[in-house]
Amino acid sequence: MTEIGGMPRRVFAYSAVFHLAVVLTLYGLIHWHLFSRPIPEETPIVVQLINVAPETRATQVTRTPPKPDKPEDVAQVETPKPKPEPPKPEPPPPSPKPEPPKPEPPKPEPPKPEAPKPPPPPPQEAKAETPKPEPPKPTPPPAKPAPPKKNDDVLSDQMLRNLAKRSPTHPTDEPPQKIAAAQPSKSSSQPVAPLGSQLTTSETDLIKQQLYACWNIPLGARDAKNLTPEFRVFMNSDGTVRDAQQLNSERNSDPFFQAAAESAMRALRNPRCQPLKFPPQKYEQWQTFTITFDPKDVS
Amino acid sequence: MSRFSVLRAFAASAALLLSAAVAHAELHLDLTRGKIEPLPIAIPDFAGDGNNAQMARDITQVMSADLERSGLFVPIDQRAYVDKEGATRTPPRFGDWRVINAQALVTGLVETKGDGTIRVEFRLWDVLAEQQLTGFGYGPAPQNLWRAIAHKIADAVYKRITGEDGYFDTRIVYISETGPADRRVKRLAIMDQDGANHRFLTDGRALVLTPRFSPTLQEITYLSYARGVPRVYLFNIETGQQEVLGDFPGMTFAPRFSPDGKKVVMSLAIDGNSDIYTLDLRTRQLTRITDNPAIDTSPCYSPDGRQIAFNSDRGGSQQLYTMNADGSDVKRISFGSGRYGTPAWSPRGDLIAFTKIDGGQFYIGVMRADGSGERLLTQAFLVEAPTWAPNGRVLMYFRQAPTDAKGKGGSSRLYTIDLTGYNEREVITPQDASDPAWSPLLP
Repeated sequence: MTEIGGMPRRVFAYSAVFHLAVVLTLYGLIHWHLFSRPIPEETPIVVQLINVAPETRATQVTRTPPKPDKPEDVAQVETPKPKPEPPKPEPPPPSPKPEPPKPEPPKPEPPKPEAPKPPPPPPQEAKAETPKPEPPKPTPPPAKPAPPKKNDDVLSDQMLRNLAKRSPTHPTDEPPQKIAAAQPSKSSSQPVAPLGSQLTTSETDLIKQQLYACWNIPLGARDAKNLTPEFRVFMNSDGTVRDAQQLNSERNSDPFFQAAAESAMRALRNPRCQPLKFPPQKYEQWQTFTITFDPKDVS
Repeated sequence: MSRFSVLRAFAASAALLLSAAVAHAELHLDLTRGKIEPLPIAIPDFAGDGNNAQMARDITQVMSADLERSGLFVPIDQRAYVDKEGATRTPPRFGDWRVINAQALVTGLVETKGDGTIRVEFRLWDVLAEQQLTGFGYGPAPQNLWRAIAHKIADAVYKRITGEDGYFDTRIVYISETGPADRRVKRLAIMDQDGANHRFLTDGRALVLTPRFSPTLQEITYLSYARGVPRVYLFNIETGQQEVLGDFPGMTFAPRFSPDGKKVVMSLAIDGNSDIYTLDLRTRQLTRITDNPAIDTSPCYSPDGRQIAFNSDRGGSQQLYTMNADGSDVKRISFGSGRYGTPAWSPRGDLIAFTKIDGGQFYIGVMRADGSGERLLTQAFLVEAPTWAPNGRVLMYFRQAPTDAKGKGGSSRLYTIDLTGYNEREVITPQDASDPAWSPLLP
């Protein structure tokens, strides 16, 4: 009775110990392999390099009074909406005049190094710097403090430059935090959904931060503080915007309002701001939401 | 078993109710902040038909430079374009433009007609919304108007994106200066807003000062010391004719047109007392508007013609005032430290630009017409004489550097700055420059 299936019990025990040892060794190896290696460096981020086109300045003289030709409207070209993915291969509506597929004479345009510019050098560039990471440009660093970084995303009122010294009691230093704190999203003030499924203020603030980065406010426009387009946004569960409808589009007859609404729409559609970082488990809460773009106090 | 299914049904309906309640409490966000960043715009070279390919490229570049200078657009380097034939495609391949981060796209083409005239057509596209925002055709027009057409296209793009009229198809008249400080030669000169098409209007034999555009475009008023006496002249840009507007006793300063072009407002120093007068250009009748022992100068109409801004030292130091066009209801509007001068009422009507001297420094600033909301935009050893672009978004002025002990230096240049105060640029002129005046939009 000391043997099982012809094998001594001792042998069986040895086998068990041996297997255990193998497993432990393997685990140890894997663990060592995974964690003892140096942490891989961050993968480089692909950036877009953008140069600002230099200024042209032609020198020919004698322009007779510009007998400006009254412009005629070029017919609107309907573009197929991207969303509904037209099942039928409907040809894009033909454009009226321009005969798009005109076989242009091959334009002699290799990546030309902007040579044909006889005129003088660009004027001292004190321009607002572009947001992109730029290659070191030959232009000297702007003499002016271009948009100070700290002002980049504060209230637009403060974005307007003022060289006058502000008194310490001036309210302008406060609004950023005040607005963020004093205006929690409406949802959090109406505890309808069970606690925990609601979006917290910090979660909605995260979304706002994302959208701030994509919204070019209509700075310097007249009555900018009244340009407050509002939208209902329909979201996909992956955080991308499916559709957005303007709720006060009747005000678009004012070209300033229309421009503001379009700039807001561009913020919602900007691929740089998508997907929006909503918590996925609370999709119910954010699958549709309303948003007002309100550049307060510009002016 | 049946108890279990009842429970399940109950749970399901509760969940349904809950989700309905959740749906009712729709999330709302208020976005109160944003970025000051120019809009990335792609402007591929317009398509040309063989002979005019170069002109098509030139039009594209002039327009692109206009938009870039405004500070509201950043044209994307053409070398980054994925669709190299992008200008010819209608509609464009939007994906190719989204990839390079363009938010707007301008396409267009230039056609040469049989008689040598050109026709230019453009379309502005919203790349993210994938739709055409606007499009116009210009011409047929003589080929030498290609620059004007390029500026008009830039104006149309600017207007559609910002809601505001453009200011690119405009001209600048200013005083061109050469020579040493004690024998300065000053000539009246005119150029396009971007510095092109520069020409001199006077030969420099007589000292000229303070040119101003007429709202009717073809005329400029200015002050000339021909024969040693300061007189207000009218200059017709097209015919080159000069006309003496009036031979006024004593000194005259800073004449400016009324918005309807029918009157000129200026200050006259009679018997040592400087007051504001208007002159009816048709009847040549002179009307006194202010009557005060203090020095009243630099009058300027509001765009509706109902009010006049001016400066005066009637309160003890030089400050800005407004009054009705008939001289009633005089109100002081500047109350900051220092002295204020050269008020210029915005064509938009909302703001008054001024020069301020405080603590030995000069500033260019703006305030609302009631004096509130003063903001100083730029500061230097000497900056002076702000003039508005016709859309009220950009100011031009001149800046003079200090001279050294030997009287060297002191060069004087034109600059523009936009209302945000960030986008300040030099306007290139062949010689030193001062006292710019911006024309209205050309018709």
